[in-house]
Amino acid sequence: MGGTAIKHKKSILAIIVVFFLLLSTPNQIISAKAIDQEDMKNVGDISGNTTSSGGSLRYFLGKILAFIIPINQFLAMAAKAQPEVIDIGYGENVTIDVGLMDVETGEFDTRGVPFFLNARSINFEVLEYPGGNADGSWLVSFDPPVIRPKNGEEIKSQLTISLTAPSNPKNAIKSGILKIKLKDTQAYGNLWFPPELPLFQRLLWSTSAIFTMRFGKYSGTVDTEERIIEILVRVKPYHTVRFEATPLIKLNPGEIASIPISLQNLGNYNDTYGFRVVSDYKGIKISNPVSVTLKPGERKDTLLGVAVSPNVLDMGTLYTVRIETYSIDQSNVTIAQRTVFLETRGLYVSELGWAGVLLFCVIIIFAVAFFLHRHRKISIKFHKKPEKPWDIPEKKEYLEELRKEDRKKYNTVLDEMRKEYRSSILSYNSSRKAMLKEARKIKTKESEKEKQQTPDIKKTKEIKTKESKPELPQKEEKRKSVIEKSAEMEKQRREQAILKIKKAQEKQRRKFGK
Amino acid sequence: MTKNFKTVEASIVMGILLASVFTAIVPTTSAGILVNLSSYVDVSWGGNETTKPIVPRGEMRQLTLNLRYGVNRGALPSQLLFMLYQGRQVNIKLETLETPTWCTATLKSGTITTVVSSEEKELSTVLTLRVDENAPAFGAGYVKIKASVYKIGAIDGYSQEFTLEFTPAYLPMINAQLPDGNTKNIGPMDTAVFPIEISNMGNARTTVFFKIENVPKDWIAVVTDEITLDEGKGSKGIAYLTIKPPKGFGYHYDEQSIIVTMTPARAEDLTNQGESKTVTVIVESRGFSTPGFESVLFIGALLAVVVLLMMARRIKKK
Repeated sequence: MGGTAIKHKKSILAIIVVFFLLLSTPNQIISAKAIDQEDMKNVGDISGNTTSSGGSLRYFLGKILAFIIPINQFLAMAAKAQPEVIDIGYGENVTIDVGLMDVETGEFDTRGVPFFLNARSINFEVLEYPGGNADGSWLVSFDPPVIRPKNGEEIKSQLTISLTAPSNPKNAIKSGILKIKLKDTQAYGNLWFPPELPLFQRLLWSTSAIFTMRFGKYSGTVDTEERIIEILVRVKPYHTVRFEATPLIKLNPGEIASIPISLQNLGNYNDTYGFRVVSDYKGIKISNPVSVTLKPGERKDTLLGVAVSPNVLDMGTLYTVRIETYSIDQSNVTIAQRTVFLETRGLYVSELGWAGVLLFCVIIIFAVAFFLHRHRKISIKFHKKPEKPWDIPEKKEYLEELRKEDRKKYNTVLDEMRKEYRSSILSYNSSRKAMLKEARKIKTKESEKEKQQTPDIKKTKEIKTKESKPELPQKEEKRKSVIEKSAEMEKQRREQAILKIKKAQEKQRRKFGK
Repeated sequence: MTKNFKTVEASIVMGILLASVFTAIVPTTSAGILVNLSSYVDVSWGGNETTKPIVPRGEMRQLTLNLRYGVNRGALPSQLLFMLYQGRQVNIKLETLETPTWCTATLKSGTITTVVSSEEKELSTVLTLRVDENAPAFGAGYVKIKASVYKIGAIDGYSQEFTLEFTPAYLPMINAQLPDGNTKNIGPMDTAVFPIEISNMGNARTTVFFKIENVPKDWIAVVTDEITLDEGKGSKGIAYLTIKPPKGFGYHYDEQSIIVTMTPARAEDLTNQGESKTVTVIVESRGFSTPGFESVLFIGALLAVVVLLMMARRIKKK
């Protein structure tokens, strides 16, 4: 027994040495295969250089050994999204593929359930949204939501990303990273001695399960491994604006007004808005509102200039002015429009017009004043208003005496005086009217005479020049005669009145004398 | 003898060496190392079923949840042990962990019963979803479901969470009011303005389009073309309906009703429109309509009367 042990001493030592060498081999293989496609490319590039570091040598050694010895890659897994960069806008959906990647090919893994697993399922969960998801603007759904891998089928799910505008426009959504957690649940089978492998490989596997990798202990357990997939999401600029409705604006003819128009940026980036005014009215002139720059959710007023033409009289005209707005990034696209209603109504008088009206009024006032003044002057000149008898000094003295002596007599005398004054006033008025009538008659006769005169202007002129001199005294004489007549009539009336008064006084004396 | 003794000595040394190496390398021994048994369960549902938006308030969306249950076995000892547990009852507990405030998620059965079997068990239950009217249209809705199985003897328990995503549909709802009433009595020269106050009762930012259905002959009626209301119940906006009656010279006694149609649409997708609503206003135009220069006309008439009187006097005198 002991002899055989000594005999095989060298071979036993060789086995021990190989065993210790093999201890590090699987680690080398795993480390070589646990790199992703990009790393493989890099290594491939490096491998072309013979003077490269031991890393590439180790990689190739590992690759050859992995070809010979099918070592299970428990940790050599990666997840990927295809494409990794997406563009999305408000109200849009984008669908991409996410799943597990075969690190050798860089494509989606098709190995399904490996021999050492009893069952496997993969599900997804969103870890982080670009800019957060407080408003619930992001919707991420998976189809299928849970993958039960099958051999030969790609381990992937269709990821649909939807973006809606946030309820608060100030919380604008911009580009960012969408992080997705991939949960790979694996139910490990018999890892100590898997029956699916050939005997030699099974021995090596068992050696690894027991001594080197020591993964045998996971037999019959269920483990979940998590992978993070990062997708770069670029949110497209969303140009939209909200106009506030404006009530009917009433303007007068000739008025110039600035109408405030309120607008709010409902987009997701700072935006500058320009305006186009659509109006073909001739009665009003409109100036385009000044362009404004707004932050997301910001609200500002811009001014629409309106000048109403100075119509003298506007009975009420309704105008509809359409304002279109566009982002300066896309000047040919109208993103919003608003119709403004204007009503013009009223009377327009210019400054010069007002001056004319004022001048006209002044002329009228002057004319009326002049007429009245002249009328009064004439009446004063030709007609003296009868004086009140009780104001004549002689009669006044007489009345005083009477009042002291006889009160009754005084009253009767005063009464008579008043009657006398009234009658004289009446006669004054009638004579005045008669005089005016006569004056009018004279005027009308003159005008008729003028009309009756021959049409020959020269002759009339000659006649006028000849007759003008002798006619003047005739007219004056006529006027004088009229005035004298009226004066005489007045005198007569006065005398008659005085006589009446005297007669009355005598009657009274007689009465009182008796 | 000495030779044999040396051989025995060498064998002992080698044995000790190998034993030391083995003890150093072999993982820490535990009871479960060879007899691991563990339950596993996963929940899946039809991806297409959650893609279609759920209409708030009315619709009750029922989703079928498919469950898969199995017992994971390791090496031969665990397989032998598993045989002892076959046919044992297993209760899979399902619960909704988290839902948005505007969503109600109900599971048909919180516990699903099955038995321990060497084959995987396919089971199903129904999840009913209902969303309130304040659910944000096309926003993110989710239900977190937890599936758990308690430990059954040597079979370890298991639990896992799944997130089910869905989205509420757009519910176009508006409420229109006329704060100044729906009738107006004006003169033929006047203009009637009716403010129309619109409230958004829906679940998304809404653009309301206005249209006048019937403009009577010789009448002018214009209305604000559109207004956009914020998301959120009760957000308001005002549109203006302006009406001008006929103003031809003469006495007017016109009465007309004008109908305004309002159509709500989702502001982000104007093709997603709701049912139209109408508002009817009545305008009575009563009074005398002059061409406007009535003051000038009055002065002219006065002058004409004076001239006529003078002429009459002259005729009398003659």
